[in-house]
Amino acid sequence: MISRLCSLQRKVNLPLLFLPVFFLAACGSPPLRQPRAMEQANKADQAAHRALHDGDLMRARELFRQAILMQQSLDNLPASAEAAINLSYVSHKLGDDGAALLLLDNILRQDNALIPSELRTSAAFRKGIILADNGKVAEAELALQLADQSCNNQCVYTAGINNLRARLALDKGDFGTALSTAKTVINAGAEKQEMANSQRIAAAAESALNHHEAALLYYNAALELDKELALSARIYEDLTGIAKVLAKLGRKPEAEEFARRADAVILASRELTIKSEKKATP
Amino acid sequence: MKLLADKDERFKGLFVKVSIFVLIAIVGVSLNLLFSGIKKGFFTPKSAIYFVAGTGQDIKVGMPVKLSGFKIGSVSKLELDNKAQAQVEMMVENRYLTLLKADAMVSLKKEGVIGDSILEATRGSEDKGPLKVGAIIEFERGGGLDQIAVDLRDRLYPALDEINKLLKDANDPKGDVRQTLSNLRHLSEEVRGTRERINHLLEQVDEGILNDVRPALRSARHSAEAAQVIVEKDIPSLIKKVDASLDNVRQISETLKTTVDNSAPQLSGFIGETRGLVSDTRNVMDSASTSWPLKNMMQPPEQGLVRMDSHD
Repeated sequence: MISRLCSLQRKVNLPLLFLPVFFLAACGSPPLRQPRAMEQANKADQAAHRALHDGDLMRARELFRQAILMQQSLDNLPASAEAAINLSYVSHKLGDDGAALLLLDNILRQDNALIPSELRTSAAFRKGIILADNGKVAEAELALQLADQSCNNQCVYTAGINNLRARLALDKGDFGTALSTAKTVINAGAEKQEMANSQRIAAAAESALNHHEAALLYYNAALELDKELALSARIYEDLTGIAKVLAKLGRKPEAEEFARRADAVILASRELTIKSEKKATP
Repeated sequence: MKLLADKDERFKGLFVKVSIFVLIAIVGVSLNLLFSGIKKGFFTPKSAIYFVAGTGQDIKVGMPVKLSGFKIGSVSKLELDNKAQAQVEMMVENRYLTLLKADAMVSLKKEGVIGDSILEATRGSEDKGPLKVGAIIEFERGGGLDQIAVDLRDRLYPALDEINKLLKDANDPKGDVRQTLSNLRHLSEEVRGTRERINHLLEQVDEGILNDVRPALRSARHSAEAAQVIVEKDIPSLIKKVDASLDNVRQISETLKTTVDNSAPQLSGFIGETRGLVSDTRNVMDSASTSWPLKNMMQPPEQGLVRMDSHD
């Protein structure tokens, strides 16, 4: 190796070898820096995302609060609305739905011209989800309507809005509408998460309509997608759904096996959550 | 006679042209050196001031001498004398020399807790005359993190020794504390015995006062005498010992308080410096992570709306 390098040195002028290094160093010049306050606000937002990614919801909540204040102090309304939507998501995860809804209502109350339509859609959509989780179907439908108006079938939430509509129909006992709406999403195609959601809703609707074999097919499709996405809580829902359908079909040993798998999934998931909460910020 | 004839018009007067060019270059370089020298203070009149340090550790030739944060000179010579002490010569600019008084002194410090070492001069008393050229001034070491650690160690060790002694004394069966407790226990037993005897006397008083009352009273008197001996002899010494122990504890408390009081400003400075260091490091890391080639290797930080679907 050394002899090869020496022979190379004899053939090539050594300073020429450094030329590419100089060019590369020139490419490596750092990008232009933003004003300090803006940098700090962005850093708080990034740190909040990191905390959320690590499962430290308390820290994420604190950092998103900071990000909102920093963006408000710079009169950056879209950025502060974005941080508020993220904070509402974290608050919902922490079970503080009151705070989450208050944040979203504040955004929806603001002048249309000040908040981009994508953020308004997101706020209304998330409000609908939280209300649906709380069983407030009528209020959720109003929020969904607002999201639908802002989106007008031309935003990233189209599949999600349709799934939420199907979910609300399922909650109201309108299984036919739920099934047809979920099928619309399945046929139109969507990203994996929404596709899995629509399969799960379709399965529940089919099961409610006593079409158990069809329900099994949808549940298995949803399970496959949720395993790809590695979402424990949803894998649990799919396994539980399959167990119930199998029980209705009279296949008790299989149903018990799926129920056992579902229990194992949820127990492990809870243990992991407790451990990560212990590690997280007190 | 010329060796080669300059036939080309362009070569006419070439020697003069080259000479002028070289001359301009020499003048330029000289001026550059001159201005650099002026800026560096090579031509500023300076005077020698001396001090003696126990050791030459951390003192170097060229080390700046500062007064109120301004550089007033530098260390010019460092020698070992016949007592194995470091003789240090500083060259201080004459315009600043007038600011120093006869009892001025220098101390070895660090710029920040982990910065370079410097010599910090103190002005001296206002009532003293100006410092003379060639004078020898006082020197002390101080400042840096290692010095804080040494200070803390020097102050904490005696306090810890006292606590250690106190604990040893408390655990020693022949020590003050154990002896005191033992005496108290003994006194308590004596008093309990006396009470039992008196109770017995009261029970027997109806049956035969004449036969029993005398020995019982004798016993009571004996116990009372024993108690009196203990009270008169042991209690004062016990109180003295407790007083001494309390004095020790008070001294330890005062030593610790002084240590904390003296160290607190330095520790707060240290914490501030550390915070600054962490902040600077974070800035460097942030800048590095956004530059080639690291930015290609690192995952871009998440920003914007958190991903959420209809089931979240």
